[in-house]
Amino acid sequence: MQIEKPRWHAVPRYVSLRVDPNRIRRSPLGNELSVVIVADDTEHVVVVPTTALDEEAWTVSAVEVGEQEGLVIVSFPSTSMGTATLPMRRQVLKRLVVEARE
Amino acid sequence: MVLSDGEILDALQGEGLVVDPLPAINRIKPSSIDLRLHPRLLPHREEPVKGMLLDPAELDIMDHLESYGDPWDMSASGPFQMGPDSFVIGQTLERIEIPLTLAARVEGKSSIARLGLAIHLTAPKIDPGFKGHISLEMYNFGPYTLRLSQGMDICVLILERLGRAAKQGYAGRFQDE
Repeated sequence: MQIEKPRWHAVPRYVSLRVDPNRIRRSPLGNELSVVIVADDTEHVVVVPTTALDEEAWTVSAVEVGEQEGLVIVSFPSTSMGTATLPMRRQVLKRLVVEARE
Repeated sequence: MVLSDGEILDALQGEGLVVDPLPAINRIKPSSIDLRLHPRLLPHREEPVKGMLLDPAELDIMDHLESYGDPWDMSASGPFQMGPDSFVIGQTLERIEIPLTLAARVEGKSSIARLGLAIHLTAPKIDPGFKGHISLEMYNFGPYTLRLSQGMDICVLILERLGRAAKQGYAGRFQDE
């Protein structure tokens, strides 16, 4: 089986993604939280630093780093648990993005 | 390639490596930086956690920690006594930022390891782009009750240079705002 190599963007696109404010869980130490991202009818729990959440807009910051096999690769801010990445269709990403800039 | 003391200083001054508060020069060792313990700890409740059946694939880790953790703040409640065969989640006092050109590992200190204290459980890796306090999964394998106090030397940070800057790290434009 041949796996297509990702095409990394030369200039990453920074995005704010809408999350469900009722499904945010904070770590008791206050440094991390988990949010739920729904992509293609699948729920993904993503752990991000607390600083990644905008509590007025209910968005988390992420970065669109490239594409692979027609899917956009979105990378989230790292925590001690690692760096969460999600591949998703561009149409799905469009529905989640509140703000974007290069 | 592991960074030496001189390279660590260079990275702190111009490569985007952040250790806050900045370590005193004697805390920068030949190939690592000494880090200290944050006052906030998260022991687990002994009951009903012991023996609880969990499915890691289905678990909402934040929800679980909130439900079954029992936070202890050493700045208000004083040192924490960690008994044998007990598990506590902690974090480093220092806030760290790793640039996309570096990766890091957190490792224990031999002095406290000889008393039986492990400061991470098989998860030492810190990705490029990480910003924050490093979580520590501490387990007391020894026979003693250990007194943990805020600001004690708890672990070391080892920095490694990547062959090429990471693509999937987070440069943090929004995160910084």
